Amino acid sequence: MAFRIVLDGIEREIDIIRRRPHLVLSINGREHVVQNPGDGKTGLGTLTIADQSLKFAQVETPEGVVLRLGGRTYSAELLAEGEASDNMASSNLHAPMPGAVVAIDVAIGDTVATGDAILTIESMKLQMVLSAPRAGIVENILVAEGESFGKDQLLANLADETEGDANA
Amino acid sequence: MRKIQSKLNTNSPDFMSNAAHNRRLVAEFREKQEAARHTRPQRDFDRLEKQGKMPPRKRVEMLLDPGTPFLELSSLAANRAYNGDSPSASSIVGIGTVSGREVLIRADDPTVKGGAWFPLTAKKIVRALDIALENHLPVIHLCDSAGGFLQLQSEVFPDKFAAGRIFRNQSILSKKGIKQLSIVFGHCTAGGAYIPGLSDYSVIVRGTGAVFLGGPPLVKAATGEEVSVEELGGAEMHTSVSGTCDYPARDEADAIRIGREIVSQWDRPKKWDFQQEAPEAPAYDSEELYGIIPNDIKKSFDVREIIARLVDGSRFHEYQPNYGQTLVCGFANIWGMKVGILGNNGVLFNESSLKGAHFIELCNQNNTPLLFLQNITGYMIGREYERRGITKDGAKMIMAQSCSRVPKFTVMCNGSFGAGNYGMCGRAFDGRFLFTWPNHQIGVMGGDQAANTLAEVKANQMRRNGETVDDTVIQSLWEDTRKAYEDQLSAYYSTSQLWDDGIIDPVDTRNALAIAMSAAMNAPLGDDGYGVFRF
Repeated sequence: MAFRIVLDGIEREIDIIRRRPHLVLSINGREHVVQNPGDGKTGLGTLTIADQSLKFAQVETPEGVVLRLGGRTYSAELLAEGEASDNMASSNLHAPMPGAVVAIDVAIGDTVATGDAILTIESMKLQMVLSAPRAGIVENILVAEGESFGKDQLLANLADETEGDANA
Repeated sequence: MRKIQSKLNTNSPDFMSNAAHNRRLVAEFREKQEAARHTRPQRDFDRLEKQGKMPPRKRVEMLLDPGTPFLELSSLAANRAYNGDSPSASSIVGIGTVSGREVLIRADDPTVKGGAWFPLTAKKIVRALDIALENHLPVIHLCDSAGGFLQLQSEVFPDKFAAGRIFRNQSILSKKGIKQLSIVFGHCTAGGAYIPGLSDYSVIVRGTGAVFLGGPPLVKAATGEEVSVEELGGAEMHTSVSGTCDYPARDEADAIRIGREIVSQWDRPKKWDFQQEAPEAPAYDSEELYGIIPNDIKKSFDVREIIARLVDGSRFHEYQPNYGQTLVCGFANIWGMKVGILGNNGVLFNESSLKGAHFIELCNQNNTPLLFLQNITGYMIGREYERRGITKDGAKMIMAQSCSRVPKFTVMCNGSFGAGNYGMCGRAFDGRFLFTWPNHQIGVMGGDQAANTLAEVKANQMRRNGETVDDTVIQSLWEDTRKAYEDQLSAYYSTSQLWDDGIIDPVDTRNALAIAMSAAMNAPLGDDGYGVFRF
């Protein structure tokens, strides 16, 4: 999961390498271990970086995040965020509204990436594409072309591509 | 505010095909607009030149402060009427800057049938003066019209919003202290004579300018009196004898110079205090709009992708991002001006309607103007939704929107069908400005739906009457209905009828909105309060 941020006016590439047991970040290629980085909700805490314990406070502003760390103030702006972590996304494709299937864009067993079209549906004169919420293999397609469905009905689901590959 | 993260793939086949489609539509629009503005028989230009007159667009150009923008409104009005005989409805209307003041300019077009007013000309002028009234914009009339187009007098003359309304609006403008200047370049005959007559200031060009209730032929027919134009209503007579006009001018250029000097005497009304930041260009290229707008009215797209290409820094503070997701609501800035945006991401459900109504109330509480980005097929129908009160939830949104005290702006980004048009501030809801994209379609329902419905009704009727259902009859009814609908659903029909303030190129939307919003800030906010919300 990679980010580009502007920190104190300088653009940096940040990659999250590991979250557990400690957060390990790569900032412009150099690795840093961060302990107790807070929960991101309260905006206050004490974190440990390079064995040094530092108090921090953060607040979001229209321009980005202002961070007070170890007595110094930093500003950071998020430029681009990587795709949301796949394992957070659902494997199930539910109908957002009642409608009918216009087209099925995949077959059972197909490998799909996040955002790939699975079904095209039509409701209230408007067609929309339902796309894969995460990467995986199409396990089931529970509707046929032309078939009507109700709101929240399960239309298709995905299975994991390969089991047990935690580092992927 | 966070920047919107665009998910657009500019290399995808969909993007390429949409972009090609929409660039073609825009090229077609530009061509029609160019023709309406400039294509006339050479003899019409020759005649003007012989009279020592400038073409009307040249007059507008000379009046405006050099190098300042002019937002022309309804450039394709009447494009589907009168066999094309009244390009731009024979008049030019727009907002621009004259002597440092924001003004509305309205010019007759003497290159078309002597500047005669068609029914849609009257509608366009009335709308122009409504804009002046609603936004407290001073008006400059550039007069050169033969009067009403007599062959269509019943449509020009008597009704509430026909020509008489022009003079009513002029009177109300003056009463409200909104200034008007008339520059008389040619004839102002009959009703047209009241335009300078009801203006606070007027300039008239010697030799060509004339103002009278009845021209020489009418006078001769009525009373037998023989009189010349100059003697009856020329510059010399009106500025020294009758006092109908204020300033005589040597020629057209002199008249424009005097007019600019008059405007420079005018006070500058204070704009209402609204939230402003330093302007910032969008982070994403507005040309990408062509690849987002679908090549088929039925296909959906994420309205956030449109917002990202209209607003400052592509920054958007989204309100209730997880609730009623088919209506996207949030705050942003356009050229530094704070605006609350409502954009459709599908059909309106109960939740989306309630969210919209609540967001509109927030904007009214916060003095934030509203921008509606319409792409709507209506409110959700069906048993479940009726039982949950989709009608009363939609009514709440319409109530909040109708009673808003902040200025409202609407852009027709794609489809506008059914009651969704109402909730999203369609033409009937007194938005300050409404602009249309060339791909737009509008109607109570789509062409396919109407054709299917009527074909079904016809078939049932035949069965009831004991006739055999003739498929060729049904098929031709289906095709005729669809064709009629397609013609009337088109953005060109809409703009021809003045259901909008003009078609614009999508990439010009941000600038058009900025000029419109800046103009709107001249008028104070409307009255507080709402009617009874049905809970």
